[in-house]
Amino acid sequence: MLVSLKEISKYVDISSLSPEEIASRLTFSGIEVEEIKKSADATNLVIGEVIDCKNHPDSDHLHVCKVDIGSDILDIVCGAPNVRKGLKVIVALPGAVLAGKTINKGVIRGCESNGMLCALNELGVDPKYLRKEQVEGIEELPNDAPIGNREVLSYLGLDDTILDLSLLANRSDCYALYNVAREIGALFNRKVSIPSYEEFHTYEEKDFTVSSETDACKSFYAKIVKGIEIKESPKWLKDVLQSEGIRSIDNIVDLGNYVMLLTGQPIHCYDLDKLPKKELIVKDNIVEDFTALDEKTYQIKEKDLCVTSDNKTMCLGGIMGGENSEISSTSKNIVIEVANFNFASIRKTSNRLGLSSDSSLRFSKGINKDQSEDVLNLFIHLLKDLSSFNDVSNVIKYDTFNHDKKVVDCSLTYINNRLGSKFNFDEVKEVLTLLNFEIEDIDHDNFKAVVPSYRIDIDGKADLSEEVIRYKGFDYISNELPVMETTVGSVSTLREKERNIESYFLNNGFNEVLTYTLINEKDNNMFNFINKNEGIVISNPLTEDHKFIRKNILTSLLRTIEYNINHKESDFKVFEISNVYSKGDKEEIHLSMGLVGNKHIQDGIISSSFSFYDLKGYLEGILSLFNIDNNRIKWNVIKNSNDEFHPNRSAEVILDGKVLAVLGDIHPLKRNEFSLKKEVCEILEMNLSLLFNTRSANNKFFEISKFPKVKRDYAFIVSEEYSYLSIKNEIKKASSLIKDVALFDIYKGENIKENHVSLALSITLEKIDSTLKEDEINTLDNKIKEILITKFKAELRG
Amino acid sequence: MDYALEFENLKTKCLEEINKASSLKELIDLKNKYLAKKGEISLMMNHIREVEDKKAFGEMYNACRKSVEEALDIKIKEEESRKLNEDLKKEKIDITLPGNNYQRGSVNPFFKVINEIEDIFVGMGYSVETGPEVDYDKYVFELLNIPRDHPARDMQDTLYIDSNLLLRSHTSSVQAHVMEKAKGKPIKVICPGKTYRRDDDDMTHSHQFAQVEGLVIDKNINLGNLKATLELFAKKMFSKDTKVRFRSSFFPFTEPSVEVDISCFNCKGKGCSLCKGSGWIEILGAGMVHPNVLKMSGYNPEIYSGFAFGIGIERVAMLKYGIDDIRRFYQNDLRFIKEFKKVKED
Repeated sequence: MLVSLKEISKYVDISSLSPEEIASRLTFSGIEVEEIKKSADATNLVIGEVIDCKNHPDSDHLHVCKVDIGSDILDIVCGAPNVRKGLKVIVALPGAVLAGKTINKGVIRGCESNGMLCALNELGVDPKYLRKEQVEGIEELPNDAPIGNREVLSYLGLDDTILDLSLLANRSDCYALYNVAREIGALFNRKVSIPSYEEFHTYEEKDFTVSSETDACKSFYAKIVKGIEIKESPKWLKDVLQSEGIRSIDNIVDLGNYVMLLTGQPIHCYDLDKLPKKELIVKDNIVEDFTALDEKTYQIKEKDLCVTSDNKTMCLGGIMGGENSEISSTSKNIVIEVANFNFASIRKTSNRLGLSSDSSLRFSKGINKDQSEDVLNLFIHLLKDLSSFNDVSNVIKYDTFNHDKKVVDCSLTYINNRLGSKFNFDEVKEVLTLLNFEIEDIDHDNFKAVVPSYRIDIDGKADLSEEVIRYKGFDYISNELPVMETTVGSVSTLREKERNIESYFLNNGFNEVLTYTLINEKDNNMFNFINKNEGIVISNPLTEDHKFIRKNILTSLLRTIEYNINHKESDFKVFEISNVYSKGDKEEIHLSMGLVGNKHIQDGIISSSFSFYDLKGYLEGILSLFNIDNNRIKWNVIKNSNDEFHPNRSAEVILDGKVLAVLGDIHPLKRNEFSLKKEVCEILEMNLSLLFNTRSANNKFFEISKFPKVKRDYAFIVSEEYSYLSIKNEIKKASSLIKDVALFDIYKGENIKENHVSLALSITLEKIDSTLKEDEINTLDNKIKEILITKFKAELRG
Repeated sequence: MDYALEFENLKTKCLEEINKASSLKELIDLKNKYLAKKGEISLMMNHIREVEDKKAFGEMYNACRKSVEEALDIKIKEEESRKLNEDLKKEKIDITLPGNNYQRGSVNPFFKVINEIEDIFVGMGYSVETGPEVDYDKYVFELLNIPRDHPARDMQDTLYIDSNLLLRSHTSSVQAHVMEKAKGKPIKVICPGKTYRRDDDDMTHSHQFAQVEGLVIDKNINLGNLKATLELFAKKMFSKDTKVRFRSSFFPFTEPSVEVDISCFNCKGKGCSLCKGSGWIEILGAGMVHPNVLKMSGYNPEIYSGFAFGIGIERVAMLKYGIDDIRRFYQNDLRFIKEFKKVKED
């Protein structure tokens, strides 16, 4: 909302207040002033008349002019197409600064030029408020412009300061200059004078009727004015509108806009003679194509508010008028509409049609319902100066609103308790009175506050506490921590587990990344191994790139890997923990991790590429953090690796029958997709929710044996059809004395049969209550050998 | 036979040889030559049978043997020490070669800030909860005093899944969830989490960002309590002389509502580029929980009151570390992430 301080000063005394002071006070009390701007920015100007204008001898578009500025006659070269003899112009004298640019004397293609003839945009006026010809040529001043006048900005009405208010949803009342004046008056305790006018009419309208057939329009006021003259607006009105960022059209449209600016009440005018019937009825059940003032056609649907006449839409209520009843230069008789349309309906229609206007903006925020007659009276009063007319009707109205004043019961105690303040009754009363509340003191603590009708945001006593503190300033509140029952602060169990994993990875040299939840369709269709539920799609995405809520996070991690490879990072470890979502309210916490390239010792003195077993090791590291017994874990080959994981270097990890994780090499066919060249890329995704919610044993002390351990080594050749784990498990089953089975060598190749492998195991035996006896050891030794030979057809070595 | 002279000569000969010896081996040989069972000194003991004054002979023998033993011991120790030093010299390494790679990883500052904020509030006795990112209109808007078609919905452009389900546009939605669970009991909680808006990504806007929601509800909670809480937070998060300033604002779910500025920790309020010369930095929105919000979630606003605040994670991180572009958090350039190694700022 643009606020012209020149216009405001008509309604509130702001003498001796600087724009900065006003802006700062408004901002701190909840009406943010985003910018303070001058309507023009130019110095050293004078009004002149072109008394001679010749073509430049050396140019096809320049003119050499003699310009009378009263005290002197200047030679000025001008390139504007509309410069001509007899034209009154704005002259920037040498030394003038126009929007930061200095004008100097100069010689243009051999002709001396002592200044510049100006267009308004060259004085800093935003071209969007100017007509095309005003931007393309120099400004043409009226014939009576006083030659030699140096107060050019003042003459042009451009000596104004504009406050650009960024209004929050609660202060829609400040879309009215009157209310901004009231606010400034209250904040600075200055006199406010909002004019009010008597109702004026010359006849009683008998035939014309207004009404509404929908609850979304509860009041519709109108007046008919006959015999008006449509013409250009006077300069003062054009100047105000320009300051307020509205383009001048004609006297009636401009007046409607001006009244809206002052009161916040949108106005619409119809050409009475174009209405098919002497009625305006608001309906919300019309379905038809409607051509609006912007010459575009819109499809009206049910629930759109239409102002109709003879069942034809004349105006898309509160948003835009129709071409069919538009005021034109030949209009003589008009109907002025002051209606109240429900904000929700206006918002819906405006959003659906992508059609908004100054009017719909105000309606959609909510407007004062109690000022309809005042607004019409103001309109008629101002019309007297803008146009002649023959007749004005009485107020024709439909109104089903309850216009009782809103009263809020409140107390000083409530306000002080809510704010942590120590105001006394008189202070509170004074503030609220300045803000135009009427206060009825009940017992010097309890009081009633009558809410001014334009403050539609005030509902209850909490609002009053805000009024007091925003007025007085927040220095009046205490600064004490809340006094509450002492509690032990803690993060949730889930969050704590998440943080444990985070620090595990960080301590192991991983970098933690953060990727977008919303991804594109292609990425959303990749690496869906853990969460196979149906995904969620955004119905109103801003871009196709952020349309799908990911249900797994591995693809996002691969995009991060891709980004860094493209930025010449070669060897790194990354991980991310993130929530994922799928249809039916399903939320899971996932972990993804990636190992890229090589691991190094001492910079790169010793290097080896990451492998599946690095992934596996980190996974086992996490499992050990949560004390998950290995017996509960199964390692399966991924049945359908989808050409995403390497079919023979990947695995699915099952915890208690559910998929906990997938991990492995990325499939060679997928490497290109992520710009991978030669570097190893090992990836994993894990369902942390499954891990976090599973049972696991807490730490507990068990007796430690006082007796020595015995180690026995076994080397043997065995067929590859037996997995290492199956051999290990079988050996472990042999006796409870076996404490550990560890692999210390594995060999394949020369001297070993095809499809066979040589393994070397170290088996640790231990007894809790005594030393192991020689014969116990030998019995067990034989048993282990027998298992190896009979169950696994192993060939024992040396 | 003059055994005294004999011992003296033997001793002198031994000591000379010991003195001359230049390796450990020679010394061991000398030890064998003189002190072993069949060594020259040991063999002298055979003569004890021939002497009368056996005691005197014994003393001479012992004295001789002791001198030689001592001399040998000293020399052997010297020699061993010399040899060890020689060996150690050969084992010399270049202590300036790189160490093995046991560096801790770095963390995207986004997570660093979340963890730090959690720790600060946990220290003040808050519990940390989470809430769903995909949530119902009811929790994100309606229970927060933002009915359908309310103008306040303009403040946030929301990403919808269907007319009822959406990606939360603020963490304030967890207020309603927390109150629903607390069933009328006092609350002191923060809830960090990701939020989403239908916004174009640029230097200062991101369609995805994160907030930490704070909510305190009890009897007698007032706006001054909010100020003190946020000031304590700001002192811990930024610097210990940070001050907090409120400006009146509007959120549908708080009344009064405030924008919270902190005194610029960079210039200490003098005015610099970080605070655009004002000495203050806008950091978060907050307010007293709106009575309607309390009522809708089962708290009697005549008895209970509360405050709520929403801290922007990226905003805090950008201020704290001087990060210029919000997109950096989501770009994950390792060069960027590796700038955040230090576990905790001083």
